[in-house]
Amino acid sequence: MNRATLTVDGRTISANPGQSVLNAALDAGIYIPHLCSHPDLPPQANCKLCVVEVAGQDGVVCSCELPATDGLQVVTQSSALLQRRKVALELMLAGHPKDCVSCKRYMNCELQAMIQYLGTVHSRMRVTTRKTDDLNVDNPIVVREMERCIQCGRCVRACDDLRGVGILGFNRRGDEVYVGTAGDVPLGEAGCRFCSACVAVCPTGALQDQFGIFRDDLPWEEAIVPCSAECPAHADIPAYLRLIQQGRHSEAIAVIREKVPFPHVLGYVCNHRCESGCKRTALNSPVSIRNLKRYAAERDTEHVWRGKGFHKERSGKRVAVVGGGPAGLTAAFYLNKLGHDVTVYEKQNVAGGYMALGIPEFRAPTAVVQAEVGYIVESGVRVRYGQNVESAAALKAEHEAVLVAVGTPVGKKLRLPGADFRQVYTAVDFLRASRLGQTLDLGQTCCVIGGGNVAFDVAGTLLRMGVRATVVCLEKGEAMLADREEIESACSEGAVLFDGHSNEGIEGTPEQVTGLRVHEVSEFHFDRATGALVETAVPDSTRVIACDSIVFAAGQATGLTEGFGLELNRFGYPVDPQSGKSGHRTSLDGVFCAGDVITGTSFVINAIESGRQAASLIDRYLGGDGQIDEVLVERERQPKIGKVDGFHLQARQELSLRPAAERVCDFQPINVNFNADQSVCEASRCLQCDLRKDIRKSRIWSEYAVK
Amino acid sequence: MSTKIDLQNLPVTEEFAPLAEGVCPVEWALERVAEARLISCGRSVTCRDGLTQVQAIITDITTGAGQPGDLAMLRDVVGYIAAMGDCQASLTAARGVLFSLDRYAAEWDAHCNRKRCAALVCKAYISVICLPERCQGDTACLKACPAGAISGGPGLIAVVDEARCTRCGDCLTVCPHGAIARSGPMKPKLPDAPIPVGSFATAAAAGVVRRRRRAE
Ligand code: SF4
Ligand code: SF4
Ligand code: SF4
Ligand code: SF4
Repeated sequence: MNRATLTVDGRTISANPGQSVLNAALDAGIYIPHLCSHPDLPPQANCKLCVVEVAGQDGVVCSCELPATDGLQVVTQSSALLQRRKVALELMLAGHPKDCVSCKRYMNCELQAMIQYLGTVHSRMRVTTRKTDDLNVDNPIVVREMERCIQCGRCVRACDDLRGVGILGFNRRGDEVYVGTAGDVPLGEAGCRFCSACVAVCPTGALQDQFGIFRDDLPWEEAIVPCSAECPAHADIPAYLRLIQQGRHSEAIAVIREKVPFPHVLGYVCNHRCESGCKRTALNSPVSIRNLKRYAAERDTEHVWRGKGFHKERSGKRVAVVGGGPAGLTAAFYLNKLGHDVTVYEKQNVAGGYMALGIPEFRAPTAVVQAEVGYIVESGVRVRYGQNVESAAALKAEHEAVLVAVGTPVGKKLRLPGADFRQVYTAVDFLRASRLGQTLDLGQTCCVIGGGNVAFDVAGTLLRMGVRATVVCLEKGEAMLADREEIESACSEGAVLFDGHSNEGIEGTPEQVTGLRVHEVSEFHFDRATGALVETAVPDSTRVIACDSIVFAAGQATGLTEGFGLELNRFGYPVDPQSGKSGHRTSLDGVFCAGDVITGTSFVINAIESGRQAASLIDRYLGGDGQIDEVLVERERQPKIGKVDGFHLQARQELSLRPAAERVCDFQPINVNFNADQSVCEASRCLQCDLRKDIRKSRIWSEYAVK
Repeated sequence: MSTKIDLQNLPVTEEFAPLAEGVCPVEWALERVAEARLISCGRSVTCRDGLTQVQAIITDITTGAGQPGDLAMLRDVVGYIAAMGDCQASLTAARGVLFSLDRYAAEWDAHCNRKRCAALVCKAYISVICLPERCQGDTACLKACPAGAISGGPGLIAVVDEARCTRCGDCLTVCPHGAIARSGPMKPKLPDAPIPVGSFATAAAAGVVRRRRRAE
């Protein structure tokens, strides 16, 4: 069928076959007032605002239902039409609250825009009220202020036509007709999928997103998918959860690999900030995103992502990356794809940094880390092991650019008497030795000083080595810095906890530690200016914990010195002389930073994202466009998600912990991954917040050329 | 596409038979609207907001709360519904109101501007009275009145307290002598308080003194 040609207010426009006059005019930039019509929904002619006159026909018709046929002559503006529109709007407003200013849609409301466009005031008609407005308003995700409903029916059509859920309809109670669920049951009970399509299309403040569910400091497009918004790398989480639910694990991993080259490791160790943003939390609990990632990675045998994505021509530029941890390897991976010749200088004899040597085997299995490091090496990144780079400046002389991604590989000791005794170690050294199979003199009992996750990683490792572990930290109970699960896991394996304790000194001789002298504190803080500890000791609480060795899990440092050739701050972090703070740039042109060496000890995912940004920055420095976005799997969003009874109640699946007595005997992962049913259940709990991105925004009059 | 009705060619008056004696055209119109609201589609602005508005305006007109300009606004709205409505129920109701407005314009005007209902149907504009000549002091009406607005006793002429009477009409049907009646603003002379049956007749020679009371 050919396009039709018609005239609208004397302007000749053309229309797609089957298009309505309204849509044809709107597409041509000619505004015709409308409220119930929406670009993604079938017409319903409820609001009667889109009335037009047609040459040769008496009366007026709704242009949303008028097919745009060849030769049609349409008039959209006349005093008779204006009159009709004004009556329609006045009628709607008669039953509408007059408190625009206190409405959350104020200044973002299509009804309000219409009032402005038609210049209508409320006063002429009788104020009418409805008894049905407060039916079924109770759910944690969609705020329903139905007194603001103008009954355009968009939500009904969105739920039905767009989503195939179809739980909204026009209900009748006595002489009132209103929009609701069958039986006026709460949305959850009706089988709602909480996709919020209804909210997206509602022209008024009748349907709103629960206040505080999205961040308001981000662009709208980003904020409405809160898991991705929270993820430092902005992985397309709903897309991969859908693929996992369909059993397409390799494609799911490919989606993750668009943003991070270590999906499997992250499946074990990620601090899953995404889950803290998950919208499902409002219903019951967040989707178990991290564990699903691990599940999919374990089943990714096809590696559909291989060979996909961009591979730029070789640039002939050489880049040195100092440090083969998550930040350095990520940057190396992208820089190589960008065409540069990349060499990673790794101090140790294995790559992976923190992932390989900084966490215990039972948290991230060596095989998993090395497999993912291996893919990066296979992609063409050269790794030179056992290289202690002493000067960035010297390295820069041989390369066009240098990336410093050394992390914070040096453990700190507190200044305690006895801290230099032979059996006193740092957590970094201890964990590295345990991963490399080196033996340390630990004796039978070891005290771990510190209250973060690292302290409990050390404790768990000690217990698996057959050494009794005692953790001593200043913070008490809830105030402890480590994750609850880490604390509980280590304690159930037999670690002894002295929380709320301060250290006085290490007992023994330089040749042999015999104990740790501690006392209880009732209150403490660190002095703002000097950083010194200020504490209130509990009287007469000093005691000596007998032990044969000590491990400090009391923070880490970069280990960089002046000799490295970069301007450092007083904590040993390179500074960008322009901003005076740590950043990707350094005091040397062409030498950049990424990862913990900027931020201090942080999470793997933050290091990866930092590596991505550094790669992009370095590419631009070398004359490229810095573009590293890529699509490894074409997206298929299936908007018709259908109704699911009890969807709102589906409980979060948890991994089962292996019994403490069993897991303390080996270095295998402490929990057992989902089974197939669990993975499908868990992935299908996702509300698919991204579907809403496909719903177009209805434009108001001021956005049209002809209005 | 739904069929649109052209207001000019609407056979308004032919569709409805003239209203019977004793039917108030305003109340009749209100009933058509209330009826329609129970069965209409209720979806579109014409049907939901339109009929609700029409009902609100006519209700005010029948209850003494009408405002200047109501008739013009009512015509605007029913005309709009008749032209744009898309369900049979709302169209019929709108045409009914238009029919009543056209054919019984004087009655609408009386309701709006003179607070009168010639058919003695609209409660705001009527009083319930006990005709003293007919009353036999039976007290059936006293017992029937749910508002306790009637005073009297065996052998006494009943008197309706206008302030308390709700115009429910329950007393109208119970009097075996037909003494309870509706009245417009022009009421016959009535005793102020119950007096013995028969004693009111002394005033008969002077005839019934009509007092003209203009309600404002
Ligand atoms: S929905 Fe729109 S018109 Fe109604 S109160 Fe809110 S801002 Fe005002
Ligand atoms: S399924 Fe989606 S569109 Fe339907 S009511 Fe629930 S949130 Fe709204
Ligand atoms: S709730 Fe919103 S979208 Fe639904 S009918 Fe009312 S105004 Fe329209
Ligand atoms: S429900 Fe799904 S898409 Fe929405 S925030 Fe949670 S994981 Fe992300």
